[in-house]
Amino acid sequence: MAVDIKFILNDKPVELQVEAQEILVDTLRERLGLTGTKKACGTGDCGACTVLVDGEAVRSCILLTASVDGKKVLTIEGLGTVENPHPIQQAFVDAGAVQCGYCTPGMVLTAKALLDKCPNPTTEQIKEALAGNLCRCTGYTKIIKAVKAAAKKN
Amino acid sequence: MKETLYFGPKTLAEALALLDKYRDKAVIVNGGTDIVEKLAHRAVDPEAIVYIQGIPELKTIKEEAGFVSIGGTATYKDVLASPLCGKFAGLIQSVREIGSAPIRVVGTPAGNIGTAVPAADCNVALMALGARIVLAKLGGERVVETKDMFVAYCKTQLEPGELIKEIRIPVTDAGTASAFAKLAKRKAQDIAQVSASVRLTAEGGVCKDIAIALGAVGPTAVRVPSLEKALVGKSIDACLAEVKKAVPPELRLRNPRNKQYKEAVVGVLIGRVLKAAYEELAGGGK
Ligand SMILES: Cc1cc2nc3c(=O)[nH]c(=O)nc-3n(C[C@H](O)[C@H](O)[C@H](O)COP(=O)(O)OP(=O)(O)OC[C@H]3O[C@@H](n4cnc5c(N)ncnc54)[C@H](O)[C@@H]3O)c2cc1C
Ligand code: FES
Ligand code: FES
Repeated sequence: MAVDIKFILNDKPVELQVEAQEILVDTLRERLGLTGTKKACGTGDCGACTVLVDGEAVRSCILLTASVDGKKVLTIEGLGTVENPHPIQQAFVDAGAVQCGYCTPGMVLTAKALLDKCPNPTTEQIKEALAGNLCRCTGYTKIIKAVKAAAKKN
Repeated sequence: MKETLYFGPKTLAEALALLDKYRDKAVIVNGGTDIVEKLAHRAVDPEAIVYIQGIPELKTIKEEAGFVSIGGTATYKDVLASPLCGKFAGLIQSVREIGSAPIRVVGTPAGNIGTAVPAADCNVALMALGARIVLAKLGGERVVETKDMFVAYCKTQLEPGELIKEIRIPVTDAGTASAFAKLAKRKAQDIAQVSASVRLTAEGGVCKDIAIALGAVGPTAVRVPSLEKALVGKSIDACLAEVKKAVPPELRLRNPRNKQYKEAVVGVLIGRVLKAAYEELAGGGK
């Protein structure tokens, strides 16, 4: 049985038929062409697949697509564009917080969820919020710097 | 291949009717942080998925008749935000240690019980706190003590058709405090090598009552009655000296690779939580 669902994706209503076991990261990447959301571990450990559901950072690789019925989903494609990046995205660029970029969409969205709730986080709060987002390139220092800079700009 | 059905009940009654209908062919999905990976890879392949996060009546945390009751779909985030749960330092400390913030947003204490791995953090804290688990099914309910809930590795008393409706933690007075600690390889998002939780009642520096629970020292989380009995009536200093080198017989370690390590640290960890609970008492209790 396919499940009919409706949700808001990046501010636009979406109607879809999904399989019961379908996970959101696959729906986004393979069916909706939104490949900004990355899939790395597939087990909830690394944060590459982070999206915001009703404003909370969650792992789309361990989330049933059917369960976002009626909710609001934000992916990196809904945040900014190349011409007009979101301040957090710009801060990542300015701070040199991106190397291979695989962790970046997840980092940026996790940072957004944090800053929406806590506009002036301490270093500890930033570390706590990003503790589940793994980066194998940057060593985190510049990512933390970028989040701080984004907070200041706000 | 038969396609799996998906249900998102909005009430407990609806959920119980579905579970009654599909029995052992149904799988409950709560936060999904344990089960969705298995579903996605068809390691678990049920006839029906029953997603229960959409049931508002199970989400509440309330105080009633001497218990703080955590609903079956309340998340770790809900627990951390609840002043009622804030009374149980051991619970809060265990929940803070679970995964990362995005895991705590969706993951639930009920799911920790359902998965029943021996290293499950919240389960160990609940066991020390003497929590009771209310299991509901169509037409009935039963209550199981956390210490009796886990029957084998990743296996609980939960029967087909049943759902964890709430977790009841007995409210204690100012003379009782609790604590939790785990040893893991990394600070964030790591599974416990050994975990320990304690609920301590003390008066005038003497242990009046104590419950100790351990995680990752056997196929299930366990209470440690041998040590509990030995400590009642002793001064806290004497208790701390006694637990430090303890290797309780409740440990069931088979893997020679980590047995020695776990035996060496378990007493130290019990000492740590005992001390933390006592310090909380000395600081006024909660
Ligand atoms: C990256 C990551 C890190 C993690 N870190 C930790 C950690 O540090 N410590 C730790 O203890 N755990 C950890 N976990 C495991 C997991 O998050 C917890 O066990 C969590 O409590 C599971 O809750 P859930 O609601 O997501 O469960 P689900 O995955 O929805 O369900 C788990 C099981 O319980 C059953 N179930 C759920 N709710 C009910 C109910 N109300 N009634 C009956 N059965 C039910 C389900 O059918 C399933 O079998 C981690 C997981 C991930 C992915
Ligand atoms: S891909 Fe989802 S957490 Fe790693
Ligand atoms: S920039 Fe490569 S993983 Fe973070």
